[in-house]
Amino acid sequence: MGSYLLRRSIWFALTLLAISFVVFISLNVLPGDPARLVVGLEASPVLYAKVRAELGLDRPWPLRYLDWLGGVLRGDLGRSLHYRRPVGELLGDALSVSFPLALLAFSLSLLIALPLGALAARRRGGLLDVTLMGLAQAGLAVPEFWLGFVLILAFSVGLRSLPAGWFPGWEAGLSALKYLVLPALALAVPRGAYLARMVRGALLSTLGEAYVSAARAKGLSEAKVVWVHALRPALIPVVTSGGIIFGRLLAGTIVVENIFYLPGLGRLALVSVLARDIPLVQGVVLVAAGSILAMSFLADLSYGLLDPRVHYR
Amino acid sequence: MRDLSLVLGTVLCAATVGGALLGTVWTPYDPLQPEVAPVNSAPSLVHPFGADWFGRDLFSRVLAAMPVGLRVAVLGTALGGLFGVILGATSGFFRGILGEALGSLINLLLSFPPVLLALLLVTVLGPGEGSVIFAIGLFNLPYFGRLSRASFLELKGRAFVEAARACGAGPLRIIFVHILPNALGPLLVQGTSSLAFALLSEAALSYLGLGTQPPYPSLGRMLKEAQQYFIYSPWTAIFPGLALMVTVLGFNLLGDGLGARLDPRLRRLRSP
Repeated sequence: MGSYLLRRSIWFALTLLAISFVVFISLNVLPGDPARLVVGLEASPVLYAKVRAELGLDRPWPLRYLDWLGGVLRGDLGRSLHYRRPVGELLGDALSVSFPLALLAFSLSLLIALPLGALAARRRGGLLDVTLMGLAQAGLAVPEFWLGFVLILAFSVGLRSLPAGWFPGWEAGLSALKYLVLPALALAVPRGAYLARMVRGALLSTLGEAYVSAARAKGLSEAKVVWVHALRPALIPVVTSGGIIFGRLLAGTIVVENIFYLPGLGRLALVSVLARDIPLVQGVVLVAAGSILAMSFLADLSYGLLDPRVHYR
Repeated sequence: MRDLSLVLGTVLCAATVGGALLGTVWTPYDPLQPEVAPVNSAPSLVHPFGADWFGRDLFSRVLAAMPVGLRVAVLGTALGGLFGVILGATSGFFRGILGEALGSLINLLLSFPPVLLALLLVTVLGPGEGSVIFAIGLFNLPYFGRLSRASFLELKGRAFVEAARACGAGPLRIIFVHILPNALGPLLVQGTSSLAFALLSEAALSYLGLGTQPPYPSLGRMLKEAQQYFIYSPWTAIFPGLALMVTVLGFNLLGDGLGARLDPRLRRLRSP
């Protein structure tokens, strides 16, 4: 277990290093000059040169990469060229929206997936199973940005019950949560549908195992057999996919944040790339790839808790 | 139930691909021509999907946009599939450092957030159809890579491969003639669900303004443009999205049905 943790941590760090390096290189071959974007086309050559030096753009890129890396190791992600603020602060602000959104969307997906998947598995081949899995197929095919439109039409325009976009900030207290409900729902439907299919498939395979028959033979109620004995090991593939899904949700949901005008990580990603804001892009990518890696790491670690037969080597 | 998926998937795919093919040669009105209908008019018998804020016929626009999205998705998936299989097959077939290194590369690509990857790529290469094809290919590549790596790792130890080797077949012949045909089933299933995912990605990138450029219609950009109007004329957003959804549903069902036919134990689909 110890050596497993060590190997995974080294892999984690190396992956982040490789990703940040690739992103840095690709941004350096980008057409477009960050300094020019900051000062504008009309600026005098003197001012342009001054800003260029201020941003550190006059130095060769390998040195700039090493500088950036050194900063990250000391906990300093640099300053955004576009917002003129520390990248760390910007990322923190964005995460204060993206993290609750991801959490809400993920909880809603599980709330859809677990009961529906289990119900379909118990009624395998029946009308209910066919209906539920048909619905899951439809949910899987829904483009989430289009679903956003439909939800706005239904809940904001039709029922006038939920806000259609924008985020007031957490100063508004818990009522700010209202602004996250529709985006979270738009994100949860395709993900819940995907996980529901997975729960059903995994349950079908564990329901046929000998220890499940043993539990039944012991006289346990069917609900207890399904929810306690069969479901736990069946959750392994669900947790793996769930980890990836949650990690990607944390990494920012560019399209949905755009529809609902939410100032999250996805919007920050879009702005930073379009503005050629290299330090900010690097910061966003680090957080995004980091959360994906961390979530799949945690998912792997949970296998041992779910299925006592799993050993880490 | 599984055969139901296959039948329904085939029907939907035939209908949507047929519609897209039709859209390349004929549309009821010129999709770019304004004021063929009253501005923002609701769906009617003459204009089944209604008209947009310029009075363009939405049905014609959807028909004209479908082949573009489909072409980008097919080419992107094919690109990712081709290089993914080459990468995965090589890493699964050859032992030692080469195999391990390529396997790590596949894992590295998997840990990159897909939309962010596409966003970066499209910015580097400039917006347009070619960049989107390339981006879709790149984030589909590791899925094909992982799958073919697993198949090759499993199949290369089988007796028929040993027999081929004993008969003097070289590595290329073993890979292409002996192993690949046996690994094709799961790859085909992955292909159809990747295609469905690629259609959604193309629309998402076009929605962000990075895909197909105006004046050519694309389903994603139609939704983007409808964003200011859909509260007053919902049909401008509803129908492009519905067309996309039906196409994606068709390919997903087809993939499901094929998967059940080719291997009843297999249940593989892309994570959203």
